[in-house]
Amino acid sequence: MRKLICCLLLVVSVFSPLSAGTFDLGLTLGTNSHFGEKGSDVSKMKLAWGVTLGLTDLWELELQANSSLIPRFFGDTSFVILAQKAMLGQRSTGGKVAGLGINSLLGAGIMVSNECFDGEFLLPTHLLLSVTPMSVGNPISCKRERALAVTLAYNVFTSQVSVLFDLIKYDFYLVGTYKDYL
Amino acid sequence: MKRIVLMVVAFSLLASPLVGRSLGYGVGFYGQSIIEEEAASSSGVELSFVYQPWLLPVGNPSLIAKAVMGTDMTGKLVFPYVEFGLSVDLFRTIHHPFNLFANNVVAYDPAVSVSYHRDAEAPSQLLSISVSPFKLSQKDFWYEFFVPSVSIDIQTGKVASWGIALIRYTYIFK
Repeated sequence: MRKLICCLLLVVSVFSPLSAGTFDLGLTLGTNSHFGEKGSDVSKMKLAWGVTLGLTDLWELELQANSSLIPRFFGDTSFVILAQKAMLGQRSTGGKVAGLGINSLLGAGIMVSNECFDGEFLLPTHLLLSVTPMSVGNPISCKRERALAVTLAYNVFTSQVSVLFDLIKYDFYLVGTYKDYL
Repeated sequence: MKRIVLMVVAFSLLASPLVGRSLGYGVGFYGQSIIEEEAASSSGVELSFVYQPWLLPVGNPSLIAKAVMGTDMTGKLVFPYVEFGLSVDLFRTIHHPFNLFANNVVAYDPAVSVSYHRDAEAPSQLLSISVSPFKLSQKDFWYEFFVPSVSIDIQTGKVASWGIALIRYTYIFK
C-alpha cells in the first residue's frame, strides 16, 4: 500500500507540471571537461548530450551524458542528473509571453559513472553543485545557449572534489516552444 | 617602362585582397589522439588566424595558421602542434536546415582544409586533412562544430594522429 502511494505521489509530482502548462522538452548538445580528479577520467574532451525538461516556470531537470572523444571516440560515458533553478526570473511562462531571454541557473544533482571499482559498475559516484552564469534564449524561442557552466563534483567513494566544466551547451526545444502557443 | 607598369599592376592585383574585410582570429576546443602513444593525446584550446582574400560563392579559399595548447592524458600542460594551411569553402547557401544554431539567418558553407602539421615532439613531416561539415558563417563570424581531422606522415603515408575540434568560433575583424 505504501509503495502504491509513493508511486502515485511520484506520478502526480512528475505530471503536474505538464498540466500547469510550463512543461518543455529540449535536446542538448555541447562540451564537457572533467578536471582535478586524480587517477580517473583522463579525457578532458567530452561531448555533452542529453535532454532538458522544464518542470515549472523556474525549475528544470537535466539528464546529460558526457561521452569522452579523446583518446578513444566515445570511450567512456558518465551520466549527470541535475535539478536546476532559474535565478533571474521565469524561464518559461507557459503562454505566448516568453520567459527571460538571459538567465542564470543554480542546481544540484548526482553523476553516475564507472570511475570506481575498476570501472566495472555504473554507480552514482558524485554529488554535484552546479552554476551556469549565463544562459541566452528560452523554450519559447526554441533554442537556448548555456555558457561557462561550472559544477563542483564530490566523489563519495574517494572523497575527492573535482570540477566539471561545460564551455557551451545548446538546447534545441521540441516541446513548449512558441509553436505550441500559436 | 612597360615592365614597371606591369609590375605595378601585378603588385596592385596581388595586394588588393589585403585591404578587403578578410582577417580574423578564432578560438576553438580541440582534441588530438596520437595513434602510437595514447598517453600523449591531448585536448584544450585552439587559436587560429585566418586570411580570407575573397568571398566567392563556390570554392572560397582561406589561409589559416593554427596553434593549440592543452593538457595530455597525465594532465601535463602541452603545446602539441602548429598548422599552416589552406581551407576551401565548398559552397555557400542560406537554404539549409542548420539555422537553428543561430539567432540570425546564417549561411552554410562546409569546408575542407589541407595543412602542414608540425608536431612539437615528433620530427616527422605531417599533412593534416580536415573536414568542416557544420560550418555556418555570417559577414563577420564563423561557427564550426564537430570538425574531424587526420594527420598523415608524408614520408611513410601512415596516419599519425586524428582529432576533433568540437567547436570553433572565428571572428573576422577586417
